[in-house]
Formats: sequence, structure tokens, C-alpha cells
Amino acid sequence: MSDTHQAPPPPPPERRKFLKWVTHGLSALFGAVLGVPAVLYLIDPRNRPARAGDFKRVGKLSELEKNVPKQVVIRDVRRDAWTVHPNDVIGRVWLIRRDDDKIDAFTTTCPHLGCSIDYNAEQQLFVCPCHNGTFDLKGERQEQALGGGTNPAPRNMDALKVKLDADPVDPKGRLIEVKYEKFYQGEEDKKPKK
Amino acid sequence: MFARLCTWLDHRTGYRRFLAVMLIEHIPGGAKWRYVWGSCLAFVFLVQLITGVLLMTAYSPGDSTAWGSVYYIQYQMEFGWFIRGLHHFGSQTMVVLLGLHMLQVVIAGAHLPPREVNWWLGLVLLGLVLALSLTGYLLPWDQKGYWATQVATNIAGNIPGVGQWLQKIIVGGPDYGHATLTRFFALHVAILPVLVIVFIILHLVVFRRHGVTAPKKAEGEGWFWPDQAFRDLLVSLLIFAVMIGLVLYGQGNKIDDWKPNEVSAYDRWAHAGRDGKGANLDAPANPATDYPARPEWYFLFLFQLLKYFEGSQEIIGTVLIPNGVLVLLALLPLLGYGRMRPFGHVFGVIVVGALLLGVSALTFLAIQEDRADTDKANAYRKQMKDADALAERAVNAARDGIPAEGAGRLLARDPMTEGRKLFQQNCAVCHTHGDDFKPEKPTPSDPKPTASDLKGFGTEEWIYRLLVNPGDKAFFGRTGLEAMKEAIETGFPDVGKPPEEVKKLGDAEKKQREEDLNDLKVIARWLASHPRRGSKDAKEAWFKEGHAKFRLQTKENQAGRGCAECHAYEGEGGRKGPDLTGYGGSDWLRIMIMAPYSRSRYGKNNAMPAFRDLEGVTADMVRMEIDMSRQAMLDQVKPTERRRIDERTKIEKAHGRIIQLSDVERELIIRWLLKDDRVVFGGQPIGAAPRR
Repeated sequence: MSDTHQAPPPPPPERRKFLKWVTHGLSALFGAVLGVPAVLYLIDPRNRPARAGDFKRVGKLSELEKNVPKQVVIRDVRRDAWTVHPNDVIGRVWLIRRDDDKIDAFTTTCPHLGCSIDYNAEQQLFVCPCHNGTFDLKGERQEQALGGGTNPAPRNMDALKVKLDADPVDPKGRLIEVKYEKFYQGEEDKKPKK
Repeated sequence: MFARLCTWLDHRTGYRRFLAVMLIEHIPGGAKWRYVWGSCLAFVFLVQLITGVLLMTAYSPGDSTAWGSVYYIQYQMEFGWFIRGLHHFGSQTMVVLLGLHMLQVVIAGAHLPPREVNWWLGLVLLGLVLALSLTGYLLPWDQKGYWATQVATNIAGNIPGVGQWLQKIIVGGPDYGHATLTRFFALHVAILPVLVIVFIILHLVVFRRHGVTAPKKAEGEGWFWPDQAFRDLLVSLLIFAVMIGLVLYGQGNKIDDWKPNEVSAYDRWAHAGRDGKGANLDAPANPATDYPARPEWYFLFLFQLLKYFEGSQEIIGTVLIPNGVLVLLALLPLLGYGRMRPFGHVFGVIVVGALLLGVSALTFLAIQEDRADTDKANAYRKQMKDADALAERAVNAARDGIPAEGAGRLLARDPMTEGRKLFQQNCAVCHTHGDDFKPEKPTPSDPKPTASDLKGFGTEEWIYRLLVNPGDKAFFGRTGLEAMKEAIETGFPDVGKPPEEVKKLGDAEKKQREEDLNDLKVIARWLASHPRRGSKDAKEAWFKEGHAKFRLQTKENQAGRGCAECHAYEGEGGRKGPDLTGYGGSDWLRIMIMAPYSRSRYGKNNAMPAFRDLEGVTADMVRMEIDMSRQAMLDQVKPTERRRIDERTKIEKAHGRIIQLSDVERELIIRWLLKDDRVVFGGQPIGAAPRR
């Protein structure tokens, strides 16, 4: 019987056109029934918004010296898909005390490509270790990067809102609260991540 | 334009010739519906590949992450339930189609020469598909998969000689864990599917060499494209429709607070997993529980077969018979040579028919045995029901998020299941909780409850009942403490009277009684808010009213009913009774459980043991503090006091027993009592995921 198969008969006639179209149609139906949910499933992360910023306590006012940047961590609930970390470090912040009760806060995330910005105490500059994004003590972008070349950072360091609160334990003390947010990198304007 | 583009592409790739080779297959005797099964298998396998890759984008193999990721797919991701459901029911569909395909092949005699090799390739594919089912079953790391796969790997371990070595290699170590999942995952998503694809290609190539096995009387000519392709696709889509039907019918557990009627139609479909659609997800794997393991239904026949062989004979049922059958199947084509062919054909049909019948019969018996009204089956069903309840609780407890330690913690730290158990073990010896822990057939030797009934503790209704009738056995009746009863009888004389006595009261007394009851209601509401000075409720009128009635009656506070004579609130008031600051809340309960002898609770009147962590590193500190507290109270007994000895004995007794209870266990009990169903998180006993 395999011998008969060796010599192929003439190709199928054209009258099967209808059957072909139906077969194509059925395939398309299958593609849609499986494909549409599949795509919606794949783009599910669109339903996961970035965390909304919220004021978080980061330390005491008395711990800050004037004009000396200090790095503090932000702790909060961190949700990672199905896992919840009730108290995790979600980010870091540079605090600078300008005056008795004027505090500036900058996220450590570089506006260039998101590395963590260091403080160079000798030069009194904030410098990103990845591509030398350079900022002064006010967090302002310098034209020249430290060590030469143009500064790759597109904008100033991202400032965060700061609030001072009464310390329930110490009547004279004040507590620093920072509203931590993340911003899109690489753009001239500071836009909060969605 | 399109045609010209195609021609351009064909010139460069020669795809038309390739398609012609693929599609223009001559079918002697014409296209037939009975030829569809092989294509249907390939179709469902394609569905498995697509859904499998989709699942892989969200699945995380690991002891502490697998269940969580599957939960996330099933209950959080849009259409995750649909993709997972198709994959789940698709695997079962494959097994059914394998049976049909095999039966069709032997009926047509397509396993006979010259098609022996393709029959053998088919048998390899059968084994690979079953291996895919087995490995996939474990991946959700739920109770069902965990225990069923334990049985399977232990069977491998029982093979004489190499078994134990083999088992360790498969499991990835001496016990189930991360490595088991990563190994099964690699098998399931890479090694086995690639092998299946390779063997399907071989199967097709060899099939093409000899073509379909047309019936002898068949007339006419046919072509694969489109005659047979149309039939294949139509039946495949009908099968696909059945799969979708199964997914929509659903086996999953529902989410309690999911209200499909209150969301948009899109969300209702996108998250239909929350409505029980799609595949089931059992409780997270827990080696510490009993679980009545049953394999997936298509392996039930093996499970049943095992029952007929005991002890050292078990190997017959687990290894010898199944492999013997495989060998027999492999030998079938050899009966097709020469004059044996007609016999070989019939024999093949008989063997495969008998095999399918036998498998069906064993499956039926296995199901019947679990459905029968025997002690064993009843016990099985009871265990299954409990397990299902845990599964339902697990997917509901996961709503606010899963601890990083893994989904196993969900139930281990779940107040509604574990807190209840701990209450039964630690508290129900003296306290009751409605009829919850009442023995079904009480015996005289059962210990009598000696303390209050805590069902509804801290709620307005419970407090109100206590205030109206403190001497009831649900409150102080069993304890021998009478101060509260006396205080109510003095201050609110008629409130606890039964209806027939109330009828006899004069009008003025009746009116007074109504007023008293109303005041108690106001106080109960205030207490049920777990009153604190700085709380949100503190600004409300009803709160201020409750507080006013609680205080002593003075010129400034005419409404006062004098509770403060014995009870303190935020540092003001008497000390004879418990401090009621935050009464009935978790903070209040915590001190009650850990230091019931303290002056802010029952002091020297206490009869309850203190529940402390005596196994942790702070155990010595705990003992020291309790000693200090006792000493401080003893020092307050004045040497001149008349009943000095009695007082001292009472204080010693109040500090009497300390019972081991870890911090987490205590919080579980507190949350269960207060109907707070949040899972206790991680190393922080009072931590929890914030509500979504």
C-alpha cells in the first residue's frame, strides 16, 4: 500500500475553496478565543499602579547637622505581586537641614538612569557613581560632571516633600516625615511614576 | 499586492513548496471523521504549549513562592483563571484523547506492519504525556499535588535495587523542597515538552511514509488539505469547546467578599476565578497535616490496582503490571507478520479494548470505594471536607497578601483556623465559647467550665448582657466573683429580673428599670468601642455620653452611674475591678492573657493562669517580672492587717500558674476571639498585611 502512495495523484480541485475558507475561519475563531484572553493576561501589569506616596517618619530633627547631608531609609509595606513585606525598606533619601526647621529631602535615585546617588563630602557634591551625574548641595544639576565631561543628568535631583511633626515622646523634639515618591528617569521634567 | 508579496517571499524562502509538502497529502479512500484523533491530540498539545508558556510568565517554582504565584494567576491576574483552567483541563483531555487515538489505531490495524515503528513512537508519546501530567500536578505546591506526588515518587523508591537512589535523584534530595520543584519544573516545561515535540515530528514523518490505513472497501480519493484538515479542525474545536465548558463550570474555591454583580462585566469575566471558575487550588502544601492523598482521576486505576497487592507484593501492582502491559502493547505489531496478521489485528483490538475497559473498571471501583457507606470511605470524605474547608480558607486568607516566608504560613498563622484550635487547647478548659467546643457526648469526667463564655466577647451585645446580668454563668457565675453582681444589684436593682417579676413591678420601678437598661446600653456601646482617650470615636456624642455615665455621679456629672468607683479609665477611677481603658480590644486582652494578676486586671482576685512565652530567649525575664509583681503586691499588705495571711495566700494564688504560649499563638487567639481574620505576619506577632 505504501507503493500507491509514491505516485501522487493530481492536486485537489478548486471546488474545495469553500472548505478552505471555513477552515481558515475556524482557525481564526480559535485564535481569537485563546488569543484575546492571552493578551489581556500578558498585559495584566497595567492594573498594578505604582505605590502612592505617603508621609513616612524617617528620623528626628535633632539628629541632623546644618548643611550636612544625611542618608535615611524609608520603611513601609512593600507589595511584590502576591507577597507582602509588612515593614521593608522601600527607598532611601538624602536629608539636608538648611535652617532650624527647614529641611530638604532628595530621593537617592538618580534622574539619569536610576542609580543611587552618593555624597562626596570633600567636594560637597552629590555624585552618581554610575555615569557621574553631579549635583550641588541644593540638589541642582551642575553643567560639568565631577571629573570632567558633560553631566548626563537631565534635571535636578528629585526633591521630596518634608513635614515636621511633634514627637509624642519628647515634647521638645520634632520628627521628620518625608513623602516618598518615585519618578520617571531620563526626562527633563519630574513626573511621578504611575 | 498581497499575492506579489507572497511570490517575492516564495522566491527567497521556497515556503510554497514547504507548505505543499506539509498540506498536500494524498488520502487514499478519502478524508474520514475517524482519522481526526491524532490531529486532535496535536491540537490540544498546541493549546497546552501556548497556555503553558503563558503560565510560565507568572509561575515561580520554589517552596515558598509556588503556591503564591499560582494563587496570583488564579485570583489576581486578568484571565489567569481561564489560561490556567484550559491548561488544567487540557491535560485531562490529552489523556482521554490518547485512549481514543490508541483504540482507533488498533481497530484500523494501523499498528500492524509496516507501521510497527510508529506504534512504538506512539507508546513513547503516551509515556511522555503521562509524565507531563504527573510533573505538572506537583507545581502548584498545594496539598493535593504534594501528597499525590509523594505517593508517586515513593513508588519509584520501592523499585528493588535502584529505587532509593532513583527517588533521591528525582526528588532532588532526601525530602521534598525547593529542588523538587525546580527539577519537576524543568522536566515539565523544557525536557518533556521538547521530547514530545521531537517524537511528534518523528511520529508524523513515519506516518507520512505509509499514509493512513484506509478501510479495504473505501472508495474515492481525498486530500489532507482541506478535506481532512477541515474535519480535524472541526472536531478539535468541539473538544476545545468542551474544555472551555469545563473551565466555565469550574472547580475553584470562591472568594467570600467578591461580588460579581457589583463590578463591570469586563471585571466579572477577567476575575471569574474569584467566582470559582477554572481549576481548583488546594491549600498550600503542608507536610505537618494529614491528607487523604488521591491521584488525579486518570491515575486512579493505578491507585486502585495497588490495593490488591500487599507488602512485598506491592511491587507487582506498582511496577510489574503497568510495565508488563506496556511491553505487551509494544509487542502487538509483531503479531502482524504473514498469516498471523488477521489474528494479530483482532488480538490488538482485544488487548487495547481490555486495557481501556480494565482501566475504566479500576477507576470506577476506586471512585465507588470512596463513595461507599463504609467507615473508611466516611472517614475519607470527612478528611476531604476538612481539607476543602482549609483550601477555601487559604485562598481567602491570601487576599491581603502572602507572607514572604511562604504560603504555608497563611494557614499556620490564620486566626480563623489556627486561633480557634489554640483557643480550644489553651482556653476552652475553663472558658466556653457558645457550644463550639462542647463534647458531643459529655461524660462525668469532663472538666466543668469555671470561667465566662467568651462567644462574642467585647461586642456591644456581649457587654450589655454582662452588665444586665453579671451573675449569669456566661459571665461571673462560674467564677465565684460577686462584686460586679452586687454592684449591679445595688445600682440597677431590677435590670436582671425575669419577665414575670418585671410584670409585678410598680410603674415607677418599671420606668426606673427602663432608664437603667438604657444607661447600661449606652455604657455597653462605649465599652464596645474599646474606649481610649485619643481614639477616633472619642469625639462622638455617644462616646462622651457613655464616658459620662461610666463616671461617678457628681455635681458636674449628673449622669454618672458610678462604674468608676471600682473601674479605672485612662488613669481615673477605682482599682477594685479591672481597668477598662480600651476594654475588649486586643491591647486589653493581651494584658489580660499575659498578666491577669496585674492590678489593672483582676489583681488578687485572679484565678486565671498567665500565658507567657517560656521557651523563648526572654523566658527568664518573664519569670523575674512575675516574681517582682508578686513581691510588690505582697509588700502592700500591711503587717497590721487582720487577715494578713489570707491576703498573702490570695496574692500568691493569683500569681500561681504560668502556661507556655508563644507570642504568635497568643495573637492568633486574640484575633480569633475578636473575629479579626487577618493573618499574623512574620516575626512580628501583631503585624498583618494592611487591607487592600
